[in-house]
Amino acid sequence: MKPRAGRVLVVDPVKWTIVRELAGDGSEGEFGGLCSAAHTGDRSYLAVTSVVKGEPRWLLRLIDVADLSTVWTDTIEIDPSNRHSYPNPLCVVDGDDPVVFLLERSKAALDDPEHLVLWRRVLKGRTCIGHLRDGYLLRSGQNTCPHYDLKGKLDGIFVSSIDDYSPPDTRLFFENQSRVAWFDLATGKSVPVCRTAEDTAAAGVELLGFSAPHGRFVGDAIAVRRVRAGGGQLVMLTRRGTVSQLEFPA
Amino acid sequence: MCWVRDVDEDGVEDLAFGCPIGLGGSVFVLGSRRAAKITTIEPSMQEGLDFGHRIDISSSFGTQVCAVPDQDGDGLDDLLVAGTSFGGARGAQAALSVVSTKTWKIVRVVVDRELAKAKSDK
Repeated sequence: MKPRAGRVLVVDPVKWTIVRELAGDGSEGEFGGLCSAAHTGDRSYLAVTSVVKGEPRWLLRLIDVADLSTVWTDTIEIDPSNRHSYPNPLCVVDGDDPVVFLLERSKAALDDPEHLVLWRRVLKGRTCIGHLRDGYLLRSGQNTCPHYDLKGKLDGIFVSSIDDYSPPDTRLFFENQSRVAWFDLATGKSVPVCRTAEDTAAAGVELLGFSAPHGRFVGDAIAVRRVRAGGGQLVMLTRRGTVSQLEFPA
Repeated sequence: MCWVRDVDEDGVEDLAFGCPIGLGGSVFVLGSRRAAKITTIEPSMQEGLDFGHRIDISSSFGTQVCAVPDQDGDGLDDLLVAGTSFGGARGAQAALSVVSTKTWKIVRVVVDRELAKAKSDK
């Protein structure tokens, strides 16, 4: 299927109109397929993904929102069979410098369907900081959210991976499996904290990390676990496991 | 998913999260202290959504939510909700809605009209 061009729209928050459009060059598709923004003081940054048409590679751009200039562009080579396994960027600011963490599958999904790689991209370049492999198929998508300690320092990342598989040429979806893992930036290790299997729900479609309790919302993160029929649960997570669940109605 | 202002005035910020599945999509707002539902925002249930152009924001409403400073002049922080509408003569439209955290009504919408126009011209 031919990739759509894709765009990122910039909205003026006073006039409430679209004032700029960002797009890739003619060789790119799905520009803005995944985005992540970070803010520090008066600076804002946006990490944007796109695909190179007809080639097994993705592009990751960091854009300075002040003048919408590209700070850097990175090329991510992928196995051709992983064409639809989107790398997931997470843009944060560490000190004064923008950092993009990138979760992606480096090996062929058919050969190694449980393996994800976590990269760290700064101005100087990209380095692999860890691997996640804890026994779950992943054919649909992944999600990340940062966690900051009480002093505001980034200490790790919650990572969800979701298996929502539709066999080729069908519109059938089999069971959703999902996992949420904690990746500790200090140790470079990942710990599984939440799993679902053979279920009709996936946890981690949305993730929110937090450092101080908000009433009954305690722990280190909340994962939304939706059910196809509507409604679902909010799952409270710590860096060591699941704390509790709250139902929400359809 | 995001924290929003202390809507139920119990001293703790509350929680908003989107459910962009099912008919139209919706956004839930939960009180943090009792973990009880404060409201559900459903654009399909709101009448008079005419901001100078016909739009359909009823599909995938709640794909992303984000707390933003006051947009409607009532002095209270508001909620930004992203959604995408598919199908119909206008094709796919990206839509960004501002929801008042006082009335829970959609007070502003930005829609990707250029994309919609290009689709309908074909």
